[in-house]
Amino acid sequence: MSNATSADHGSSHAGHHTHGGHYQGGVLRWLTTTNHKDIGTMYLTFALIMFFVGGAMILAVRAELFQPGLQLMQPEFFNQLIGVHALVMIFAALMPAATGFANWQIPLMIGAPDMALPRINNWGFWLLPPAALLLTLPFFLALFGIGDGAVATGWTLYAPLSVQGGIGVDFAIFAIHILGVSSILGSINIIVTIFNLRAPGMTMMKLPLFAWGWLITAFLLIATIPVLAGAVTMLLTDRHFGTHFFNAAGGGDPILFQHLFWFFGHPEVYILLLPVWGLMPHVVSTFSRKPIYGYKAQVYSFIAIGLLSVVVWAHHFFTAGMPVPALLYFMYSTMSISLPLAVLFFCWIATMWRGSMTFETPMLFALGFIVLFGIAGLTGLVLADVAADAQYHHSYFVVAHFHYALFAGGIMGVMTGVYYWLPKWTGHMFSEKLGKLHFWLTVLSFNLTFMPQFFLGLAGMPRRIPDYALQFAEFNAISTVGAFILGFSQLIFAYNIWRCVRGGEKASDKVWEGTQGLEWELASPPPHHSWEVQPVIK
Amino acid sequence: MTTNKRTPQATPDLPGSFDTEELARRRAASRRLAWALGAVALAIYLVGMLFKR
Repeated sequence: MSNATSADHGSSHAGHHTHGGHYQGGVLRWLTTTNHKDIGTMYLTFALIMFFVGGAMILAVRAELFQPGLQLMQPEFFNQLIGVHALVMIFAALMPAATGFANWQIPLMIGAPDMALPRINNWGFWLLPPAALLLTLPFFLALFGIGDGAVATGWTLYAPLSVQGGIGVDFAIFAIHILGVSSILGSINIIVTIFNLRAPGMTMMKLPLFAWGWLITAFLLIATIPVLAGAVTMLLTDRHFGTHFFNAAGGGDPILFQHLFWFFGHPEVYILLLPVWGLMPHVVSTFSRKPIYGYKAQVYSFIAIGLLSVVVWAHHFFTAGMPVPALLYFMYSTMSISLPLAVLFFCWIATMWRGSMTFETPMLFALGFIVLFGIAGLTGLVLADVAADAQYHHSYFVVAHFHYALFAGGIMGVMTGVYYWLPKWTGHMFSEKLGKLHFWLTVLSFNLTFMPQFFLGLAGMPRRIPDYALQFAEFNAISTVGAFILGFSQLIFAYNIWRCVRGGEKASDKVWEGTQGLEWELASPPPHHSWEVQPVIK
Repeated sequence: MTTNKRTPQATPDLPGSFDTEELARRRAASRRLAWALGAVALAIYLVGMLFKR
């Protein structure tokens, strides 16, 4: 289906230079760039590197869990790997990947020459590497006898454990502050770009759904990241400056931390998923050769999900103890999110309905996403039930559920976007053969890894433990084998990207036969300054 | 393939680029909105810090 051609486009890549037109080369280009495509590339490259870093950590964890008993590591180190894996995957892999998409695609899709605030854009990216370093540095400091390793509280940093923890907690607190500043800067940039730099004629109800998804995400980030920042600052003052916000002995309340954390933490799930939900209709429409079904319904669903996401946080700690009316409120409000989400699912399916579907790699990933993310949604409903949650809380059922949401939903969604837009970004087609091999290995090994964890959770295996009872041995062994296949399959993904960046069959401007939208009107790869001639939307 | 009336279609043959005045106006509006959003984020952070049961 791809429109591969060797035709040269009039506005092809103008060379490597900065936003102001001064030619820069080498490292300086990347340090000082204010070009949205360069910054998008840096975000995506950083996300890919951190995806492998976070993945390596969890493979060590799965190796330990291959059989009962302690084989490879002490429980303290096991806890550190689990916590840093989650923080790295969420803050340094998934979020930067989505921001990379936004940087590359939003100006192209809305007819803007660049992001509205290019210098802030550069700053937003360059805050990330030091933050990632802060998260992982305590591992290495411990090797030289400094501190007791990285943060070992899990990514939730629950008090009082985090009040009592070692220097890894301080490193994590500073990293979260820096990552938060980066996210807020990125969000401000995306909001003002969408509001102020749309091409003439592009009303909000003509805005591409990907941009709509990111717009809601950006507002959620601005509303919730400062709450997390406030909570971890209070944690820092509890640890070092004698305050007692979360210390019961001093009149504080550890449950307060859980409220503040999850006021950020639950919207964070939608922050990770909304950009992907915005991308899906474009991919599904392209490969079904049909217009997007239910554009308005999807926009209103995004808004509804965004609003609901900030009023359901306490379902993450039903078992901590709450008045019954609060339990009921949080149960029903959580379940109500499934309504707008179901609208999205039905719109994606209706877009495919009776379409001339073909199954190139991006479409395979989109379909894999829809099916597997559906499982995440259904198991989420089970966890939203107060009575059922009393059994499943803190079990492997939860681990399986959120990996169906964040790997199958988040990471496979990012992979969909990479395969969909990579030919546009690089001007070359990737290997379909390798892409399909990557898809099938990923889907099969993902289910091999996480499906057994539902059964482990149902049977009562608690999460975040390095050792377990003999009755859980078989499912854990299967899960570990699946995890290693899943991990090593991602090398195919990295190789395919590298191969595509280096060269290969030329991609046409439109790339895919069924595509619609402004970005496909530009050359592949797009010129250094997008839309020097302003498009006008009919 | 059916054309979706909601999908933006460019008219690349139209002449003209971004007008300097228009671009300056959009930049000024962007700066104002950016400061406002930053102030909202800072206000939420400070309220979060001062929030006590």
